Amino acid sequence: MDDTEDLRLVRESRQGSRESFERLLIRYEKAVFNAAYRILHDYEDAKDVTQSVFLKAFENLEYFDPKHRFFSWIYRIALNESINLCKSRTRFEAAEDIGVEEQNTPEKVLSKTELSRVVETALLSLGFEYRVVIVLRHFNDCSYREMSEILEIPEKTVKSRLFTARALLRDILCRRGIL
Amino acid sequence: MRDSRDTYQYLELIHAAIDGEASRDQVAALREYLAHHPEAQSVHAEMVKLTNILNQVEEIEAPGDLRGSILAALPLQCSTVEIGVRSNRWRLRIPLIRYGYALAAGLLLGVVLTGVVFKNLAPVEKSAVYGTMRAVDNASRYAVTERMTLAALGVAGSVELSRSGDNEMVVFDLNGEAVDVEVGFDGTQADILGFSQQPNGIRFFEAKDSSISFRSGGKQRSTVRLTSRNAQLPLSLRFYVGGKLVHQGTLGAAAPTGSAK
Repeated sequence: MDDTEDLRLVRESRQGSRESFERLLIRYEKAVFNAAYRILHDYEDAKDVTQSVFLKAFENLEYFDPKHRFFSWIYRIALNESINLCKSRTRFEAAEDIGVEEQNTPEKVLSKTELSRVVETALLSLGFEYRVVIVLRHFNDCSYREMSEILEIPEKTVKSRLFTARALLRDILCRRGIL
Repeated sequence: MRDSRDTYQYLELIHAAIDGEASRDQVAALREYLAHHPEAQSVHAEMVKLTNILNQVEEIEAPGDLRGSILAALPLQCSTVEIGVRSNRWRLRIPLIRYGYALAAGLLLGVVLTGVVFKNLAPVEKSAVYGTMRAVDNASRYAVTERMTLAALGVAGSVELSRSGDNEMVVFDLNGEAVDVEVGFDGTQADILGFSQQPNGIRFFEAKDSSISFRSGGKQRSTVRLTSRNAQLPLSLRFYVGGKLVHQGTLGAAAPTGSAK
């Protein structure tokens, strides 16, 4: 996404242009929804989080620092909203314990939809901090630097979390016969 | 020791290369390393495969109604908007008065007690009237033109629109723990005359160029008075409970609507 265009739209939104905010919404609605869905694994929750993200963004545009990227800021809100929702749902605490069915079968050939479902379930088995880095890197195409900005952690920590997350995910998918 | 450091370094490079974060030189060095380390090759192959699997995961389309519902739930104006308001007093927030302007309110009260008459007195804490409502209002002259009933999650009641000459009065009889109401209108066609709330006085009230926001708590009657240059001044009404839009509708339009959400 073009940062300059984002900043222009933010500036216009601050001046009262709903059209410009709508443009920002169009640019990031799908990405935010997808990130929330991958993290929460619930369609309705992802919808609620996305709505709340954009309302909060609109209400807090004055606090957005143009030195940062708009998408980092909005993803940060999305993560916080997702964390808050996770905390309020006991089932997400239990989600860490969802036993991924162990099948030492040879590599399976799955349809794209089946594969997506398996990966989504596997993701849910990861701890929140590991799930988030996989989502940002692989589904939102964020660089290490961008992830560091969004998560407010050093790049080194981003890398180590990503390594661990991938190792955990690889193990889960191996047990499911996908890898 | 050196071996394990090398292994970690190349493990880091494998991930960096996969993520497109490695330089051309680093990629070349990695290639060289992999050629002589079969165990590293297998780690690399696994990571490439994992990445390919993740890349195949289908992107989810955002729900079709999501954008519309977000736009509908947006406040009428962004909090930072600084549009010229006819009178600064309308920008004042009641909670601010409660804390920061207590002294000013006290002084104004003192002025009133000494018998000096001021026009358009600023409101004092817990005032039930804001603006010129008390002085000008004469409800008996108003004729009811439209009514909307409300039965949404967390709020019930009715809204009545009445008119007297150029003046419009909107009466909200609401029952809900904490209901935030937004009244939007064409600011070029109307001015705000006053706002009142009974019982318990005003909890929160804010007027902008083309909107009024207030909070209603418990069983309360809130009255908004406007003067309009247009006989047909549509008012868009939004009701929020716990920050969520629970009801919206329009009053004063040619074809009145009031849709529950």
